[in-house]
Amino acid sequence: MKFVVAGMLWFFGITQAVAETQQDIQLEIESAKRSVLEISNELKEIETELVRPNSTKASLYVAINGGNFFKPMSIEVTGNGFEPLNYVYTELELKALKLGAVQPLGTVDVAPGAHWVRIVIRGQDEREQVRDLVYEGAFKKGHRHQKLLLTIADKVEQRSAFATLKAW
Amino acid sequence: MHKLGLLALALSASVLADAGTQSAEKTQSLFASIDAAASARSSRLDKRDIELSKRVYFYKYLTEDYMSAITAPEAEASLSQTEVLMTLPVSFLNMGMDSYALSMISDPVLEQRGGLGNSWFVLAQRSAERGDWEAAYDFASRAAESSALLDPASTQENRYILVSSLAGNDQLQMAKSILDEMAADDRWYFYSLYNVMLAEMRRDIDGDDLSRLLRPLRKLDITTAGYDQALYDRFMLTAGRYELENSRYPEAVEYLRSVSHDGPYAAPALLHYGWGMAKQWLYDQALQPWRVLQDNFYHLDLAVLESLMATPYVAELMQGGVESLHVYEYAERHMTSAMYDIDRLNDAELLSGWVNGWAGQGEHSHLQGNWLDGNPDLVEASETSKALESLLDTPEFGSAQADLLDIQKMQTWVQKQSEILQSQIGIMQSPRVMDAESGNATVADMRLKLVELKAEQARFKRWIETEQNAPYPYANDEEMARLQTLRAIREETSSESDQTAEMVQLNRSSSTLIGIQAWKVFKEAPIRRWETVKAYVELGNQVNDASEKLDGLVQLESQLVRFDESSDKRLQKMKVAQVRLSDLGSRLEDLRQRQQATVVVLAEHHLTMLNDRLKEYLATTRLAIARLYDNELRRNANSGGLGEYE
Repeated sequence: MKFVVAGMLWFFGITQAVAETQQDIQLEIESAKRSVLEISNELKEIETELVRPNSTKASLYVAINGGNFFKPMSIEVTGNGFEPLNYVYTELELKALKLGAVQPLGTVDVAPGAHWVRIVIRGQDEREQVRDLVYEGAFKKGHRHQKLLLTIADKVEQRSAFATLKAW
Repeated sequence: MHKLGLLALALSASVLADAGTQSAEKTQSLFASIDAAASARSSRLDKRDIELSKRVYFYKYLTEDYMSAITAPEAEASLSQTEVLMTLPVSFLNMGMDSYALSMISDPVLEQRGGLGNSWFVLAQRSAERGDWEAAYDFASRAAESSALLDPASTQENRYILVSSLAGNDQLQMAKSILDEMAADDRWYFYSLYNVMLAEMRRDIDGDDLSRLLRPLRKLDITTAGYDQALYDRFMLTAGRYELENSRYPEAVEYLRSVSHDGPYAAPALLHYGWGMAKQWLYDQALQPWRVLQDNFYHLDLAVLESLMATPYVAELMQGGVESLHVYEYAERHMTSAMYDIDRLNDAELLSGWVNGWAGQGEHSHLQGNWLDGNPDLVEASETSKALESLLDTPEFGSAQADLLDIQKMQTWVQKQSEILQSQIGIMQSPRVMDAESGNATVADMRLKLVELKAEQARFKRWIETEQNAPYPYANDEEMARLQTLRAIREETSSESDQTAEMVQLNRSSSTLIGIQAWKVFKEAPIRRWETVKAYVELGNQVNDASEKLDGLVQLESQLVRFDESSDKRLQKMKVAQVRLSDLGSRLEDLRQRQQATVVVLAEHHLTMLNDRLKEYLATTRLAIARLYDNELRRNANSGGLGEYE
């Protein structure tokens, strides 16, 4: 037993010395993390300036209102004049959406004018049957950054859900 | 100065303000910087934009993508909002930026607003992980205040921290009163109970009281929520060791016997079980678990090493003197072999390779989520890992591993960003695909098309206006020609002074035909008017569409001009970012090497500790062998030189 105690004391001394060096390194790691945040922001600014001017930028956001009768599993957005968007949801993301958070699904480049859009949300109804919730409609892109909110809302009386797309 | 993100600005500002000052001031400056920068930016934004930004922030926060939550441009406008400010410390903590989190959370302004329970709780968790229970108690107490609005899901763990801190400080009554408030349906309750048991042991709880404390646990089904076999084994092992130390051997054996043989505590339980038997002079039964240990467990396990020393000691007690010599020699051989293995493993290069082995397995392609998520499963089951098993569970190793993985994640991020930036610079410097000339041509074409459409629209308008007052509205050319012909016939037949009967008949017929023709025209007129108006409206839509497209093109053209004008500046900015990335990459490589060396040093020290302990065991064993030989020689000498050598 005495060997165990001696060993522990000896090891404690070693770890104490290592801990002091470790503290210095941790401060440097924290400083490096701050640099990552700064450079990340700087790069995002550069990317925005380079790739997406507001006149061609349209962002799609997703919200859930209720979420009792339809549980989204994946989403597919297609339309004329922009690249399709696809997304598969995790449980954590669905939980966040049900709490009222809004998912930035993606940003696309579109020319000003009217665009047709078709959104297919695959999910499960309250009996866990796989269903497709489809939204089809048009949106008009102006010269400003167009923000569109897709809301998947409960239709309580029919115990189902519906989707709407509105400009934010 | 570069246009940085709001948070980066605030962090930079706080660092500038912080130069040479204490952390409390840094705290205020960070909070004030974020609040001021965010307020200034959000004041220029629409309320709806801020609301959207806030909901996007919470999406990223709730999905544990903390880095995106605080750096994403779409979430940036919400950073001055109270609800968001309250969660920023948690984001910082989850990114391993503890000093920034503490800075924010200690700010009196933020503190006054209340609702910081989750942040205090994460700080308490972090302090508990570091073993700083005093600080953990302080943070957990603040999290437990009613105004802190701690997430109910964290209440049990927060109480566990409180109980453990109090129990560790031997304030048992307070610890027990908090334990009584806890629901006995999750692991935090059982962990708290374990720590209370340890505190009771420090106060020399007697065997009966310990048995009473553990009785409900022994009856509990291991499928109970938060309770499992490993936890049960831990309770039993600790109780067994306590009873062993207090010389209550039957009770110790009873506890140790119930530890499962395939759990993580099997090896120390077998070792102590053997000692419990040996202390009761049940030597045969003591040797049995040690043989199991030596045959079935890794030979560098601490319990196996101790059992190697214990076996010949008990064998000597059983058989006495020289009869146990072969057992001592067996133990010596195994210890020598183990020492050789430890020496072989205790090599900086080999250990460095071992670190590279598990550090290289992580998926670092995305820098998001919890930077601090060290992954103990990364360490593969190699010989080195087995030898270092008891090190892998220590907080020192866990923290060093998490730091190393953080550095590597950042290195991967820097490398990826450098590649992207390099390719963007390449594109910027290459000849343009769409030059200004072709852009101008497109705009001119669209202008010409618009003019043509407007002219067509005007023509349609005039036509509609004209046809409204026409005698035969919307009649086509064929119908008009036919009418004119009939009218000419009628005039010709009516102008003759001497009209024949045939002429009169012809005149009448032409009048009739004119009437019929006119009736046909009038009959078609509403449909034709509708089609004309419809075509006119469609033309209007085309004009609007072309006009919008033209506006877009003009805007694009002006953007291209501005883009061209500022491209040198932008290129310069990109090159500066490239240099900063390169500098950061060098710093990170230096840090990685130092951190890797730290992990290797920890492993070396652990192996050296094993080696030293083994040396002690070996020395004891060799001394015993020497003593036995010596005793035997003396016995032979005393018996007149007659002995086994004859």
